Amino acid sequence: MARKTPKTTRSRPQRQKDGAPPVVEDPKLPRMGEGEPKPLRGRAAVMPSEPKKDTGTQNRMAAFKRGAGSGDARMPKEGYPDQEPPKPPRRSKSDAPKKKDGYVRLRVLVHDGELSVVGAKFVEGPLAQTETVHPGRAYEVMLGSRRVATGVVPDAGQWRSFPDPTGRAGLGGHHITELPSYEIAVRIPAEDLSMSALPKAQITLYQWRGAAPTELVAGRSMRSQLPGRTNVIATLKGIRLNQLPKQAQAELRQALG
Amino acid sequence: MPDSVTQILASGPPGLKKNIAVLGDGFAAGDQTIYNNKVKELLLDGVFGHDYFYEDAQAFNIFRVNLISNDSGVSQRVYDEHGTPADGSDDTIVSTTLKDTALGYIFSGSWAHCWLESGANTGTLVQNALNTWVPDYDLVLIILNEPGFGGCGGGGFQIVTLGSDWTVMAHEFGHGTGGLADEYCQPGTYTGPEPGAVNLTKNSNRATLKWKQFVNPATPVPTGVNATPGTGICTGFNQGPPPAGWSNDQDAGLFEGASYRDSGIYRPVVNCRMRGNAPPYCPVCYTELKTLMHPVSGHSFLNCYAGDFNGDGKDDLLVHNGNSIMLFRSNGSQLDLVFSTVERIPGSWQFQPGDRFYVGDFNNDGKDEVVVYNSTNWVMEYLGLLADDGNNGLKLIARYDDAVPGWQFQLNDQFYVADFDGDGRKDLYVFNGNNWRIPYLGMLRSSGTGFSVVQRYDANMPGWQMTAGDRHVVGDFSGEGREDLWVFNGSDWVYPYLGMLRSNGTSLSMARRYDNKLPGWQMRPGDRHFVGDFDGDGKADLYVFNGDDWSIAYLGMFRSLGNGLCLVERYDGNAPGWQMRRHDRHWVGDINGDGRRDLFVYNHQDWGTQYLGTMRSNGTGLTASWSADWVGEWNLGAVDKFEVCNYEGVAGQRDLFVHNQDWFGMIRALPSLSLQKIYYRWIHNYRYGRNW
Repeated sequence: MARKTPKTTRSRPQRQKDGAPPVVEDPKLPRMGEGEPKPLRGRAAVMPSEPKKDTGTQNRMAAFKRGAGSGDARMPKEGYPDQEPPKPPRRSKSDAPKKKDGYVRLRVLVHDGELSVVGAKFVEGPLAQTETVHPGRAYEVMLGSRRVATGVVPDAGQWRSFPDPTGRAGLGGHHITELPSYEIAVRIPAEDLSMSALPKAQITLYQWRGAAPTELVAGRSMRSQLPGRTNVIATLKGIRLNQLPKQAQAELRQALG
Repeated sequence: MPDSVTQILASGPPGLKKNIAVLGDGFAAGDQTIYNNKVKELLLDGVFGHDYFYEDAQAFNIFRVNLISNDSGVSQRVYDEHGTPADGSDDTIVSTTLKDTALGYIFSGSWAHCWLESGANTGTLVQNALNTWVPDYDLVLIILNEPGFGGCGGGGFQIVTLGSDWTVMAHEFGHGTGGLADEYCQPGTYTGPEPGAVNLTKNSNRATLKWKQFVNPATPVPTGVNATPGTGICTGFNQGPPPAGWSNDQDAGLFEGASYRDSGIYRPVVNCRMRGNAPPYCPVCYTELKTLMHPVSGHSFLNCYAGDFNGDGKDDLLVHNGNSIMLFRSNGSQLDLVFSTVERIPGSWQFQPGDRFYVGDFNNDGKDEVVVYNSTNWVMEYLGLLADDGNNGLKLIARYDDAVPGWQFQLNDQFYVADFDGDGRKDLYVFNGNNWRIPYLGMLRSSGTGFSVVQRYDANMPGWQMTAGDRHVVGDFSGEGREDLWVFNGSDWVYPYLGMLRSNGTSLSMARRYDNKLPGWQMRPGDRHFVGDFDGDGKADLYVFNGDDWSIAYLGMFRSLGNGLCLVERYDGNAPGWQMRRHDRHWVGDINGDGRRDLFVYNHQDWGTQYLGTMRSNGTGLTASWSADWVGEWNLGAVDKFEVCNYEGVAGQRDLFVHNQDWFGMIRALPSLSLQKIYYRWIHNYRYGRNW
């Protein structure tokens, strides 16, 4: 185990010691057997030796009938139905409609050192933010000087044919075709991206030749934090809605709600 | 039949997981069963049924999209390869036969053309399908209704035929998920810079090798040297004879030939999945995948349970994480994964974060089963009984929705595993003190295949007025072979009370009630009770500890007389070999296997460092020893949790599973404590080295 447990700085006896006297935890408290036991504060009742039968009816389980049901759960032929999830809380009329939690997934085309947005989709639900970068390709999204999204791109830019299973000479590995352009997916928390923020968004795709996974400091740009060689593969400085393909414009408008 | 989507692996929200979209092309309405079966064969039973992906299935969602093609089968193209199948540049098209399919792929069966190619609108059709059905995809698998072999991958996509098998796909997922490089060899010498991929290097210096942590010092480096560059071979172990037991896929070294070169570049093992497809990933590739996907999987060691799930006498490990469980089998000194399931188990129990697990042999088959209870994640409470599925895993054999006849489940039901009727099958006591107007206690007898309520106490038990503050422990104090119920209340009355309720198999009777005092012991609210037959006479005795209510800590040993207790020893402040403190925590075990139940004791709050100790009983007293701060490589800490167990399969119960968020350890007490195994973030037994 690599890390030591942080030790307290409070004043405590440091070590157990053979033959040492008992440690007094609280000198204000008595020792067992000293004086008469005191009743517990705030409690007045003594447990009766013959407890009374409950005669109430409200908020009780249904009466127990011995042998009423074996309880042996024979599994239904069709199996048990799915367990039933709770219903979402009903919204009261006074609740203002809130913007849904979610993120925007951009389809980004990589071509000749440039990135361009070719599609967008709003996805409901939480987004895991990656703060660990592994050697290889990774993207970041900056808004001004703040990094708002990061992701690894483990496999991009080529097609590989599966190896020939019959063992024909020369066909044992992949036949590789390098692609002049390819798509990557870029995910950005919806709260960080708005129509007004689009021109300020800068997306960069890196190739990092590091030796081991590296933890990033949240918010700071990747390049300033990555040891070793970091090459920029492609960038997009500002998303200009009116310069996107019409389909992408429509999708992005819808995604940003 | 309209197009549709079915999620066949549901691990969590798409933004927290890796999402695999599966599409089919050339499957007409009547072919959908073939398609569904192939998806199951390739993905669920194939890729996700083996080694790494089986282990980390919880990092992935899989969405099967059923696209209905008008024609059955896909378009075909025939090339004249002019006798050079490896070179596509001189090929000419002989014929193209088009079919009306959902995605328009064309199969050619030509390696140099990636076996298949896109039709005029394929890109758009694929994108439309993804946008419609799986908008947030990470990986895409497209299956063509074509019996011949073929497959083409890249950029997170794989397009395969019915003739493909899962091993090649697992290799491709190594690219798409882990960014792993190919380890294939072809004639040529590598002259570029140090490759970025974790499984390639040009460096043959052991001291700076990027995977040096996995290379045994006895293994020569380099391990395989190509004496005939240009022949295209991937070298094996040729620097001396490989040691006995050498594994070509799990023992790491430095082998020349990788990434389409046969010299000047090295790979970690003779034959990893990134070379041979069929072998499992080597330690280097496995560790990279695990490291990348660990945060996505959401795995931790916070919720661990010990039990002998295969009846071999050695306790195994059940780990619960959100909507998954995993079983790890003990061989006496280490753990190995044998079962992993996400979202649900056969028979239909859907795992959730709020599941609570109770382990015991509920059917007397010599193997432990699992009762699982959930009162927080569903519209009602559920209780399930999980038993051995005959294949190293578990399946649901009984489920109760909302109630067992005679017992209505509630949020705060507390269960205690105990064989109260002495038939060898563990049963359940269940108590609820605060969800009803009155407290309830039920006796749920196990038939081996389910439970039935044989007795229920409403508001009171014989000689005991139940209240919300009742705390229970179980143990056969009468020595009659039936596990009885002990109940203590230190908070609700003017004095503390302890009751000993004997079970006759169908009901309880008060054997003895202690009001305010035990023999030689003044009861106080902070009393903590631990049941164990510390003198080996067949009757469960009682340890009582109090660190809160007196100026010093006390520990009492009370021997059961069958219908009462007598004090055999009381330790005031110190036990022999252990200075007792306020926050001592105890667990019952049998450390020396003598049939007398002992105590493990831990304190991380009261000293300058943490202490883990054993207190061994000779029947009338205790002898303690301890480790401070570290047990071997385990750095004791405040976050550590302990499970007493017997993973070694020896007499008694002298072992501990120790665990926290990221670490898992196996400790045994001989009686001095020693760490036998330590795992970080995941349980994997590397042949050499480890992942930190």
